[in-house]
Amino acid sequence: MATVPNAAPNAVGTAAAGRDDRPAPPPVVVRLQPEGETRTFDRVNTALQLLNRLGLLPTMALVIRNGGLLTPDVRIRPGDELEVRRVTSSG
Amino acid sequence: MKCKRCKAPAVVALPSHHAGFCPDCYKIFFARQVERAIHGQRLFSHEDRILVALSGGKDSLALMLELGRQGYDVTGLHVDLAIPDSSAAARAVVEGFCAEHGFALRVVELEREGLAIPLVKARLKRPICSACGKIKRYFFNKVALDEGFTVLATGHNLDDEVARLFANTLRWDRAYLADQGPLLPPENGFARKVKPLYRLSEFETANYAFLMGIDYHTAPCPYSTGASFTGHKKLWADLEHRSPGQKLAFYELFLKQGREAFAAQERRVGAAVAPCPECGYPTSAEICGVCRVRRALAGEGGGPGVGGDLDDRDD
Repeated sequence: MATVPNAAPNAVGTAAAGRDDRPAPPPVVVRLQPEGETRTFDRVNTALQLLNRLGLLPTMALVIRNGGLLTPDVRIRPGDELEVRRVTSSG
Repeated sequence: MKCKRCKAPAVVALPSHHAGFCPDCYKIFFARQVERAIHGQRLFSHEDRILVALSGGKDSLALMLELGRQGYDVTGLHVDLAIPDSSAAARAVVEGFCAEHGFALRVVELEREGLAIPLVKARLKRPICSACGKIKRYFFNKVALDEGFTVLATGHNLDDEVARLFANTLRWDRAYLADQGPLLPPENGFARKVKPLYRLSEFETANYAFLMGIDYHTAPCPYSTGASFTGHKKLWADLEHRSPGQKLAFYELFLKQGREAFAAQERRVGAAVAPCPECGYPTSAEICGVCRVRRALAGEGGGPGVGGDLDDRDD
């Protein structure tokens, strides 16, 4: 499936890495269902922020990490692999 | 976030209930919402034989599983639409689900009935979704009555019901407003029809399906240009986000304060329903919509008009 990089660049990650030689944190990888599309995000703090970035309200999708559901307040870690499963049936 | 009941870490947050739940407590919450719908609306009892329409989607499978867990006498019914690259997958999901949980299952094959949806689509001069829905409801009702089931249950959830109520209200469609609700009594050749998930949103059903490990069919119908009332559902999602609980209040207050006004008027001036002279299915037209489709497929007349009559209540 297509992998689409996050449209909003991580200004903090790239600039900071250049100044202090620290490697940029690994991106958050998000698989969108039912489309099957994969997107990456350089920095996402919470599940709610991720849904906001995807244009979804908290009751529009399940956020899944390691086989478990996340509530909107749960923190997202660099390198997390997530699934966002929209709940609205599409026909 | 902590579970409202047991204070363990929550995995589901429900703004409309000002609550979060852990997996075990969420299943209890879900079961109680279904129980409240069944008892509050007097949908059915443990004495009933319940036929559950199973599409393979999360709502119908979640309904079947929960009713089974609550000890009701349930049998599944799947209508195989014979749509290439779609129907076989949906049927396999339903058959796998019923086998896994030990549920009895009936399957109606539209190809054997001479009503394969691709054939109907090729013959129709209008979008297929209306005719497809009508054909499915025809067989839901027929199997329920022919095989002695006392209740026909569908997996319509709160979002489905609110979107439909909103659409009916925008048109002030008296006949549909008179009939909309989680219980339609058995009358005029129709089976008793119930919607036990009417208090639960699509989000809530999806969480239940996930936590119960239900493997459901997600691919959209290739003939559909989008789900029914998708635009209305988006409007209502925004309203609900700003004012949690508004969806359920809108629907339940309609049941309590609005529906009877439309029902009373419909009883006075509504179209009469009579058995179709060809198949006996109730209809307000000369012959029912499914028989009109059959005639069209047999080459009699032009493409069938399948809407406008009342030979299916509340789709």
